[in-house]
Amino acid sequence: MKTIFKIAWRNVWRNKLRSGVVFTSVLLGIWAGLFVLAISSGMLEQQKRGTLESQLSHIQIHSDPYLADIKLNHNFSKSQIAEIDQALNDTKEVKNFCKRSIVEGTGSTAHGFSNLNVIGVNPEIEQKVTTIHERLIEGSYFTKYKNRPALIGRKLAEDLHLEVGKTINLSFQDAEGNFIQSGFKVEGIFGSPSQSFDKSNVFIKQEDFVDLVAGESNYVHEYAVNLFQVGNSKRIAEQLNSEIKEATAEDWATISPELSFRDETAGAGLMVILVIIVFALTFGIVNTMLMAVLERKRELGMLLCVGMNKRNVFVMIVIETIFLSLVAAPAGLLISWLSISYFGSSGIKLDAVGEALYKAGIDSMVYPAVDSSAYLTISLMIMFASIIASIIPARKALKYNPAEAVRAV
Amino acid sequence: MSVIKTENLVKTYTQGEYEIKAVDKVSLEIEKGEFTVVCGPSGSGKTTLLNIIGGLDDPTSGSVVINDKEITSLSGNQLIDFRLRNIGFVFQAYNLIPVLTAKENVGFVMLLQGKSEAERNERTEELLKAVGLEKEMKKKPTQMSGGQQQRVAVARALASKPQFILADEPTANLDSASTENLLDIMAKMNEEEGITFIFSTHDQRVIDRAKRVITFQDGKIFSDVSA
Ligand SMILES: Nc1ncnc2c1ncn2[C@@H]1O[C@H](COP(=O)(O)OP(=O)(O)O)[C@@H](O)[C@H]1O
Ligand SMILES: [Mg+2]
Repeated sequence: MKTIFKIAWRNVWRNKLRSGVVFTSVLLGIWAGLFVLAISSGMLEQQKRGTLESQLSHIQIHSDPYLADIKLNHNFSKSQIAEIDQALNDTKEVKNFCKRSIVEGTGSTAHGFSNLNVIGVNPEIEQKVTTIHERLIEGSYFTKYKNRPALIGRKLAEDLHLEVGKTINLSFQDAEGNFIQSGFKVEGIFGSPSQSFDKSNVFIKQEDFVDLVAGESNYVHEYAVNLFQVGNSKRIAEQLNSEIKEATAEDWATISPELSFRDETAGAGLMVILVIIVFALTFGIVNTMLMAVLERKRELGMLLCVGMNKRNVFVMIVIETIFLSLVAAPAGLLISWLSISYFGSSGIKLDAVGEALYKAGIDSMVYPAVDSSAYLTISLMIMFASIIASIIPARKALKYNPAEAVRAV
Repeated sequence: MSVIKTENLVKTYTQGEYEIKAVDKVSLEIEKGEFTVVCGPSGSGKTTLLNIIGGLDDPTSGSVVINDKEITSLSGNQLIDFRLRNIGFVFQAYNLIPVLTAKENVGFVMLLQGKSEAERNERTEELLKAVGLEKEMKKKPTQMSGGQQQRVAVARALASKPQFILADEPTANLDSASTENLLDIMAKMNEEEGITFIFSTHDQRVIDRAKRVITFQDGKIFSDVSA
């Protein structure tokens, strides 16, 4: 057996050019497969994180009436707020949380109007939970203007021709159904990864919100909660639901099913790409080994004549094929790992398609990243493919009749 | 008792509508210790005969008995095992495994026979010395001349201690000096150790050294002369 391994191993190096072509294609195949995988899962991960950080957070809590019908007067009662604050403070997995006031309305300038959510936040607490303050493209975060400042998204600024220092008119109905309109000064323009988020959300100070709707303070419609670990979202949401009444906690995947759905479908799509790459490699390997077996017809015939049995010949070709397929795999994995690590920290700027990505809700700066399991997956796939690929040439070699094979010129 | 005995051996090949009788009713006996040449023009059926005797090919009809054993009735794997234990082969070319050294090539059949490493080492060295290649043991076939390669093939054929050696035109690709050298080695082994050799050839230099010359023509024995 050791000798069969030795022969198979040395056979791999006999036709350097031909083997070199196989090595190169395996190397490039692994690298291309993993790198595409890394770019796309990097994008997805970033998009997910970006969406969670800038808007969703990990868990949100709303009152049940609000969930059924988003209305200004479907806010939490004082006793609910006390109960929820208590529950959140008592849950050790909770990192931090903030309370928001929300009303649906419109924003307008001389250039047009847009439907949007007016969100009243407490700037100091909000910035612990979401990253809007880090995503400002222009202006500042509730520090400059004393009088009714607002933060608007990049897309809304474009649509309504707004700049920092200009005024946006926000209008909505108060709890009694009265029509309220007020001018807000744009203090900052933020750019989240998502165009639709940027178009339809305006942040103002909670005190201005309360002032406008002339309601009591502590006018809260939404809790946004961050955990120490995003993976706990579902479990903690369920736990909170058992502790609070007439309100519901939902994890991010429930609030935005498309976000978690995209995770799964993208995974399947990428698997298809990997399978295609491995399939193509398999063809190349089969072809190379068939040529080798054909070329060595006399030699294989001689081996059969001198007493090597068919099983050994079969095993020898199988081993040779596996060696041929796997020799370049470590180098491919290494190059993939190096390039993914490098670009994973420096990022790749996809400027050419940046605007299209923004529309799809993805940052134009991409940081490739893959699970370490992807390296294992592709290694196993190539190993599996090489075993499959070895069967055809090995069977071909078995069909040789020793007498014919030694005669073959 | 004869080592090889064939009776009414027939091998026909059909090529399109033609039937070629490559071997036509050949009956012959070969005794232990012979140094026999099968000669005849190209296409006369020498290779076909040797292949059938060596169990590489099935006859269309007739029987081959080696040491009282009818080999035409053996199954594929039995036949391979039988060849491994009883017959040594030397072909015209492509005798050796290109990626193994001379020593590894000779040791290979013994390895297939399941011989221990110590036994293999001892015998390969002894055999390579006998064919005058003690200095070439670590060389690969491509680093050796055609004559040296054929000598390694003879050593390899002997390694398994076979009943006899079948050599199909072993000198066809060799120059005169290498031919003489190879024949000297084989004749010496035949003389000193009583190893049975059966050659096919149309090389007069080989025929001159033979103790028995069987001449083939159109698949039939034309003459059978012992010196
Ligand atoms: N596989 C085959 N198919 C058809 N004809 C064959 C085959 N092998 C050998 N022959 C024919 O059998 C005859 C004997 O061939 P062979 O034994 O090789 O002769 P030699 O070795 O004396 O040159 C030739 O006519 C050859 O063409
Ligand atoms: Mg011939």
